Amino acid sequence: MIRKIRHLIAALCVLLATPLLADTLVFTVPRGDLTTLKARLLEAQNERAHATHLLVEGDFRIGPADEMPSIHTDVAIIGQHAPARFIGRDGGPATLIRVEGHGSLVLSNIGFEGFDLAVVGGGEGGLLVNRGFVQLNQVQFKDNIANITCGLPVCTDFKPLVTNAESGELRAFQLSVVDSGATPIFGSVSHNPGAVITNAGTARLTNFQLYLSQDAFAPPFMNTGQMWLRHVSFQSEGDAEPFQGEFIVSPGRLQLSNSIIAGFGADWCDSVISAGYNLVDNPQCGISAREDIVGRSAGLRWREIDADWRGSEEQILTHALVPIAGSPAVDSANGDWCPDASLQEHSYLHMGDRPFDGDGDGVARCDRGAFEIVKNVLQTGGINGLYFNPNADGHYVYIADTRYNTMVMWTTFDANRRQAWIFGIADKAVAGRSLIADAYINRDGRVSLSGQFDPATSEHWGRIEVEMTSCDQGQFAFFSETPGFASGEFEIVRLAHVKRLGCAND
Amino acid sequence: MTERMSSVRKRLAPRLNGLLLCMCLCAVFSASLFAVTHTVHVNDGSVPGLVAALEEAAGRPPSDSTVIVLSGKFALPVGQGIPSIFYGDVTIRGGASAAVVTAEEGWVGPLFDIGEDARLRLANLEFIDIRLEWPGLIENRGELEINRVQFQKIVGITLCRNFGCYQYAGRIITNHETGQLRVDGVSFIDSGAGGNLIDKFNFGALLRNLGDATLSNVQVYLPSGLQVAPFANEGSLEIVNGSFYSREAVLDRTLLGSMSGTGTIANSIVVGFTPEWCEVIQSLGHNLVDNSDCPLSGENDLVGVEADLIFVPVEANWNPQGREILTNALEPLATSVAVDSGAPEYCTAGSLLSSDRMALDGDGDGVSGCDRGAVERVPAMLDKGGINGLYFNPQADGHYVYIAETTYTTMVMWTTFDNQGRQAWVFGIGGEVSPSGRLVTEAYINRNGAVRLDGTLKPANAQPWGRLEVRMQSCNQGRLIFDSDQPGFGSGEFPIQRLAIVDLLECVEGP
Repeated sequence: MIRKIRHLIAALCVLLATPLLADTLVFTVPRGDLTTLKARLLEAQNERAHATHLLVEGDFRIGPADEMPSIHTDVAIIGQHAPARFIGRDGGPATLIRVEGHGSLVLSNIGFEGFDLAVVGGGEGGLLVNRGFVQLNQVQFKDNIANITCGLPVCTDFKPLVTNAESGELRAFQLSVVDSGATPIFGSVSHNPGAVITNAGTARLTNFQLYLSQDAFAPPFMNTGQMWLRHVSFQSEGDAEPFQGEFIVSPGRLQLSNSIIAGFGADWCDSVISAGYNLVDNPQCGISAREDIVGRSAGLRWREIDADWRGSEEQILTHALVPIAGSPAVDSANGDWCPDASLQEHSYLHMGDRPFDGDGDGVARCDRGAFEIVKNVLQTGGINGLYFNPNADGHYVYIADTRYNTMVMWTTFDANRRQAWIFGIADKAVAGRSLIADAYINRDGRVSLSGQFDPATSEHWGRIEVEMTSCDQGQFAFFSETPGFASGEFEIVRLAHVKRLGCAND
Repeated sequence: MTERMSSVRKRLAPRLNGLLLCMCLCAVFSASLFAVTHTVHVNDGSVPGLVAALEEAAGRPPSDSTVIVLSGKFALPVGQGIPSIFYGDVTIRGGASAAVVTAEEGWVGPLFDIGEDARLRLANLEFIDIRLEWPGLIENRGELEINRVQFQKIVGITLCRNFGCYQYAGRIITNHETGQLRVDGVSFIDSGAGGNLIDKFNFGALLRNLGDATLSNVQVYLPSGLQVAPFANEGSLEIVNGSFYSREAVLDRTLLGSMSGTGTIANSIVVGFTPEWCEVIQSLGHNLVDNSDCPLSGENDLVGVEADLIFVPVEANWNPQGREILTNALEPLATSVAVDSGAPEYCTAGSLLSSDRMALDGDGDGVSGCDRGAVERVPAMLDKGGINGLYFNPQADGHYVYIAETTYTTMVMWTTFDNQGRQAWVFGIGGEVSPSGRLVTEAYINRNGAVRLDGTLKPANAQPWGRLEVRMQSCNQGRLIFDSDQPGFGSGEFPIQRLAIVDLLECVEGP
């Protein structure tokens, strides 16, 4: 209902704005018609008195020779209710779109997928090269990879997703980058930064998520200009040691606020100006501005979400880095910098509902990062109870919410099929459903055959994170570097309610 | 002359006899009229003060009574002598702060020596950490009353040389042939003369009775060690409402050795002792003995039955206005057959915990009755959250038990270790928690599961493991009893203590 009202208001705004946009030439590009799109862009090069809006939808398959006419005027390419995807065919061109000095390009509700960012022979590159002005609004780059090979002393080259030249001004609001960048197939991942954005100009990026499902990516950002990152969520995951790679190399000016950086190294922290309210899980990170949180789990999960970019029936943005309710990011951002909308919202004309009361304490505050969670509180017994894994029965989770904290006991096995039990102690469950617990394993205990006991000692094991989505279902995530254990996540389903306590969904 | 004298004598004799009788009665009445009670306070654990008070008492007329009120910790120096009490009536009791008697180091020989014409009362005192030398702590040939006194870690040894032992060395009380001993509301913890492997027949670590002795509301708790049999009787011994518990005895330890004495026992609980004592005492019935070889056969004697005694913190009422000496006692669980099953005719007026033993409904069945043993169980029904929660083993931390009572069943999870020190977890499903907090479940162990190094899970399958039984004594304390024939596991029991109460689900005790 709210969404329909919002769409109605948006339509009214468009109607009211039509006289104001009288100088705007609006063209609808047939679904997936690359030839027409290129022709309209070519025409736009001569429309210096008019802005050109190209309404696009469908999949545009773009081959190596399909570089778009460069942008010299004001152009907007806007995905419609059936969103537009630009899909690289045979790796796509060396440069897809080039915005020249006086040009202006707005991209909205568009996805870029499957472009090969590797460049053979070097040269200036970038899927999007900007020397003028570029606004990315509700744009996602997904699975655009450069497999590069590094040998002494150089690596094969790559083109960034976005190259923002010294004269370029780049703005992004609601931007998602998923599994894109340079992945050295030989050599170190710590070199060759900037495969996502190489910025020598000015870049202001808000509500921006970057998710790397593996830790094999080179640092995604290179900044020699000025860059402002606000409400960004960047997370790198991997099987190897955590905090492997950097997220940015920035000899330029970089300011960060209300943001979450998880799974990356800490060298970047020395070159950033923190404006505060950031959450960095790497304990080595040296930022210490107001309300910066360092060394705590961000509690971000890569989740399927129900986004609302331009009200499209089919959404480009299907997944996001969602903080669990127990994340320290929830309801803890600086409200003065809180944008009206978050990554997943409709955001047409920047109308959004941010902030929400994510932790269920009755006060709506903005979350750090790009995603804003909504209130979901379990009442009465809440999280208390016994759970099992429906996909692998025989592993159990018991959760007891006490007056002062919440205890989790996970009875399970190690990789060698030996019984194991892990327990975690967390602050009280947030919203009655979510927690992040330091986890321990007890060792050296014994019960003799005659019933004599040796006491045990506890050792730090790792971390447990629990997020119930309802009274009966949730997710259990575990993170451990203890030999014989690993990290992972599984669904938990309630096996039993505690008598006289029960649980009620809010 | 002789005849005249004889006649005078005959006439005067009745009058003289009357006069003599009058003089005697006057003497008696005057003695009672002039009997004085002297109260002396000895504070700050002053041993010289105690010695002086006893010396003063010894210097008073036998008709006088002396009450010595002690406060503080009396640390007896090595070789310290305490004046004997050869006559008179002396009471030594703790004041509001209760008194502790201990020894600095070394040995303490007879601390109290009570003569045939003397009477000594000991009350509200704690004797702790004393090593005894021959013959022991208290030698009684007169009248000795001990009430609300605890002996803790009062230890002696028996020396055996050249194939002979000083059989009765280092005991706490020797009640000689002329001695009258009344012990009521007394606790012996981890005390008694130690022995060695040939001391199976060395009796009387706590008491050797050659006179007349009555023990009521006495608890003996021997958690470990080499102490020999607590009691030896060569006189007349009566035991009522006693609780005697031996655990982990290295020696074969019987409760009572008797060479020539006679004795009776009623309303008592005997746990963990070998059964020889059963043949040297007469049962008056209503005893509870766990050893099935005990031939006790009085009315309503229960033999070979688990007693469900647990040594737990208690709220005693020895010293309502000050520090409480008795902090732990052998209390029957609500599930114990000792509860509400004592014989009313032998039921003492007080109990170990209090001078007022109220026959309560300890098992929550709606019928009140006196309990066997020294402690009368106060009913503690678990209400509201009841049994739900997380528990640990206070004697061996790092083993946990959590219990979840659901609408239909109750689940017990025990996270522990096997005999090789490997982590293990066992769970019980089924059963219903009784009103008294007892739960018996079939237990299972899951096998063959795994969490692979890629983070994915392999399912497990459950196999029968044995049996788990939970017996809650209160909201916060109980026992877990386990029994398994699975490799790596055995049988046993351990106390459980609540680690956490589920929020919004408090536990309430009450009838």
